Amino acid sequence: MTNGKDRIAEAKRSSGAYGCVECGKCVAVCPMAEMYTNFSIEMSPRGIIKKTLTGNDIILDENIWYCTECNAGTDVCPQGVSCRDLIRYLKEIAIEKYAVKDIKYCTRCGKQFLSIPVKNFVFGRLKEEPPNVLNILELCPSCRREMYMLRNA
Amino acid sequence: MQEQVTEKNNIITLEDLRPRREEKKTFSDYFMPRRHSGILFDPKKCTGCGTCEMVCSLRNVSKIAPASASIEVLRDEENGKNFAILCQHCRKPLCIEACPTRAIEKGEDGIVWINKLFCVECGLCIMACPEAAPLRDPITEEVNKCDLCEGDPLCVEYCPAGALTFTKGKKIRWIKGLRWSVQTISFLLLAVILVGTFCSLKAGALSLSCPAGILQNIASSGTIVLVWILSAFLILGLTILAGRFFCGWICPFGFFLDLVDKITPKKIGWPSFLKSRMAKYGILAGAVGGSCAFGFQAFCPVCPIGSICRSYGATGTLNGANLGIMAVLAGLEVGEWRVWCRYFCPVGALLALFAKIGLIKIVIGANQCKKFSCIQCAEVCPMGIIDADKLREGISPVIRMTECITCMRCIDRCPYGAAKLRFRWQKAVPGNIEL
Amino acid sequence: MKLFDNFYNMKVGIVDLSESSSAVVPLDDQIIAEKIGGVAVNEDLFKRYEDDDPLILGVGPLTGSFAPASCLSVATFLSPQTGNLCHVPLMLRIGPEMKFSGIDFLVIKGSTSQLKILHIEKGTIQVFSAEYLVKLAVPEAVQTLRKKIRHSRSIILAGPAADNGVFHAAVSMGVWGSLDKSGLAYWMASKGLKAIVFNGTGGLPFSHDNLAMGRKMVKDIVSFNRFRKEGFITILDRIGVESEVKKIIVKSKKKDLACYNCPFPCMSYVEFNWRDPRLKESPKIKEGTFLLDHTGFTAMARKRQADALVLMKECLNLGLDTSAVAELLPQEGTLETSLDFISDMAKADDENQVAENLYQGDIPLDKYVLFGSGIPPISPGDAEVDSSFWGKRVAMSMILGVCPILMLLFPNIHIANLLKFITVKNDDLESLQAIISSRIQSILMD
Repeated sequence: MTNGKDRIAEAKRSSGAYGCVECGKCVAVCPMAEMYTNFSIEMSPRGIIKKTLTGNDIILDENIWYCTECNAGTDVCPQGVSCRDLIRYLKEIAIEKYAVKDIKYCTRCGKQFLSIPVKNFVFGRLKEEPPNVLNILELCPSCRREMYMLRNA
Repeated sequence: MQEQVTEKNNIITLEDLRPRREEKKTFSDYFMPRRHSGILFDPKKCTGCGTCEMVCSLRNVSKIAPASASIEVLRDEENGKNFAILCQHCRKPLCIEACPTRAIEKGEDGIVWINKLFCVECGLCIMACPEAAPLRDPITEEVNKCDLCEGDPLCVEYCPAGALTFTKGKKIRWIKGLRWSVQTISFLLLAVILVGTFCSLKAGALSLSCPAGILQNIASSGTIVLVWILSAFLILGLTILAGRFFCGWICPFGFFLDLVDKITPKKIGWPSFLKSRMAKYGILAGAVGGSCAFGFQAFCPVCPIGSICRSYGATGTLNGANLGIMAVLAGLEVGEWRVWCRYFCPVGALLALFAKIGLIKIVIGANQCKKFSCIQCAEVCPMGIIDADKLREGISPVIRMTECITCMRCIDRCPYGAAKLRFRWQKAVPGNIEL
Repeated sequence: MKLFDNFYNMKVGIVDLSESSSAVVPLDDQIIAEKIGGVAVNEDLFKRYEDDDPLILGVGPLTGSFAPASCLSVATFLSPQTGNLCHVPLMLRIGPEMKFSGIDFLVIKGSTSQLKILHIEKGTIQVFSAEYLVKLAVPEAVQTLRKKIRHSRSIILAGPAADNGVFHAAVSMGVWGSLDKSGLAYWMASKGLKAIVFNGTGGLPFSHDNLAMGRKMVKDIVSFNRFRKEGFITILDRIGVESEVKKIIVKSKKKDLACYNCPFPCMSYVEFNWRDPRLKESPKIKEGTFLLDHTGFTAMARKRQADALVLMKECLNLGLDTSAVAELLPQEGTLETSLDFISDMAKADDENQVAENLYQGDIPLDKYVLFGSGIPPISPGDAEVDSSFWGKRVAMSMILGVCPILMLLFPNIHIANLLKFITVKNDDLESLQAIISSRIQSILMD
């Protein structure tokens, strides 16, 4: 197993993070601005790329867990930096290296499928729904489909 | 507009840029139901061939690529079941709520679709859907969701087994009109034209009589007259044949409460200690016991059904005391539908005992039902006996015929024909699996 | 624009088990132009790698397309049972998944002492160790595999019987069993190959004409006068099985199932109640099993009519060839002794028992064995066709990559109509037809 520094360097290389010119286009389109009231530059893709390039404690940073891994930032980047891939790699490394609390596990199969801040956002939007619907949302998508089949087929 | 926004808090949110379209109820909605199209899936017929996935992927990626389709056929290897996961086009879609960019819209025709202009492929709609129906393309990572091919779904057309059917929902609701006319006529007959009639209407030797009244008669007088029992059985026989048909279609007080509900459509709900469906049996027992003790019909003087029949006197005057009872009970309707019928009515209680051995039942089949996405039947049920939670989970609910007043609102309202009237010996629709 | 561009990825995967290495090389245009695909190309590749005793998996041009029942992939290898070349059809979703996973043909050579899994996805082949699957019953093995390797959509698995070196082991496609009766599982186990997993995420280009043509063909099939939707029973009907055997299924059939893009469901899922006699005071339980192997089930039902379904399930779980088990089962016996016999057979403690193929029918035996002795001997029943019809029909469908069972059931599907999926030009059609008939002859060695 390679150590953390190498893995982060690999993540930076493969996502093209070195090419970042800090134009801020990704911040402009980032849906997190709409999702979280505490959206800040540290949380934005630009901030995370910058922190990844300058320091190593990015894995411990809780800001990476707010990301929904959408395609918006990657789509608009003039330099072809994939912030989606970068954050995905960072999360993978964090999960492997530390016991991460920011992850939601499926209550049926135990697979990790969502980070807690994103889950809180979804549940916050759906807070008017009855509790049994929200219980179903505790399952990972494939388990949900399976449960649905078992009940209805 | 721009100016105002800046003045407020300097931040332009999505609400300012693309406000949510609000569902407006138009005048015609009261007469013609708004039709919701959708695809129904019959798991019994599905052979799992996956032709639907093939043709669906043509629309998404212009290739034969089953993995990129908006419909997924699950194949259960343990139980030999097949199930197609596809969007149900909910009445109140959760994905619309969860989408951070408001890319998902519900059109006038009821079709929920993803506007690819705004979609950022974050996948939160998958996380918010109880069925996880939006599917992610494994290669491009785009999120695809059934949009009914804008009204002409390919999968339905090409399914060789006929397991998928396209429906536009019901066109007219004829039961509604029929019930209201029957109710009006019987109200006029019982309460206005034939004065004081429901409690006992002479027709030769027999009479159409209130069974609860007869029971009290028997209890108070201590004698059993055969004609009484026969006349009570006119309504009790109807109950055995058709459930509490009397309560839903004939009872003048029920009609009155239905009218009151038109004025108070929004319900605040009553605390749960008030809501005991056993109370009506207690009142019935009390009425019979009271009649026994006092020697006269203990309940009939305050009976709201009797009151409504007697309130309009033979001379054309209105009876104040009787109207008072009606006003109090009508006030209870602020909390729930048909509160009196649900919890207190002793006549209903007696009919319920006979409805238990009745010949018919109402079933809501999970196969045709669209589960969490619709639940209109539970919303329109005046007795509140359709378990919305069960429906949301996709389990077809058991409907207790003792509480059901056979008003058939659920049958009328269901756009997909899932609620049905059945004889009690007929097989219940599959889908009653409890997990 | 070449004729077959829309039907192949033009890739061949080559796996060397002894080095755990894999490579993906481009497929020669010339082979496809000469041999069209399926068995014909498989044979060619087999000759090329003959010294390594390879296993070739291949698909036809129509596999995965809108042609009806385009579900076929063919496994070509030297059968340990006959010593001759043998083509085993693999249906369900294996053909299309293989094509959509990015390769058209897979050559597996070499051997290893440690069990291996091949995982094919997005045009790359990975070799994993399969130690955690050893001697697990087929359903458990499939479940473990699906958990371990995400997105394993199609699985070819050699069951626990093959691990034990049983001669009459059969491969299982998922948990469904297969039509393999010529030792593919035995071959796989002897080379150290436990499972092949396909994850077909890719796709094929399509044309609207093909979509319409497929539609029309399905309509033709449905309008065929002998089309009856009775699932498994229809096939039993057509191979002339007595009504007692059919009754077993009629009672317990739950559902009919079909392979990829097949309008005619020929498999069934059955449920039955039984009590395990080997356990003391076991409750009566409801269990279900897939029926896919028509001839195997018939043989089993003729021997043990009352317990046929239970014994079928046991064979599927252990990965045994039902026909061979049915032949080897002693003439008389209770459910308990039969179950014991099967589990003993799956262990192969003493020497391997070998069943003689006692097939007696109208179809020439050598043709029947050539195609894995599992394809049901459906005769078209018309006077004008001769006894060679079966072989020609099967060979044709194995070249094109469509299910031979459907082709045998509906003789009104003409070759020319199938070839129209590839091209609609008359000149090309004629030359294709000529190639196909010469290929059929060379495969059947007539």
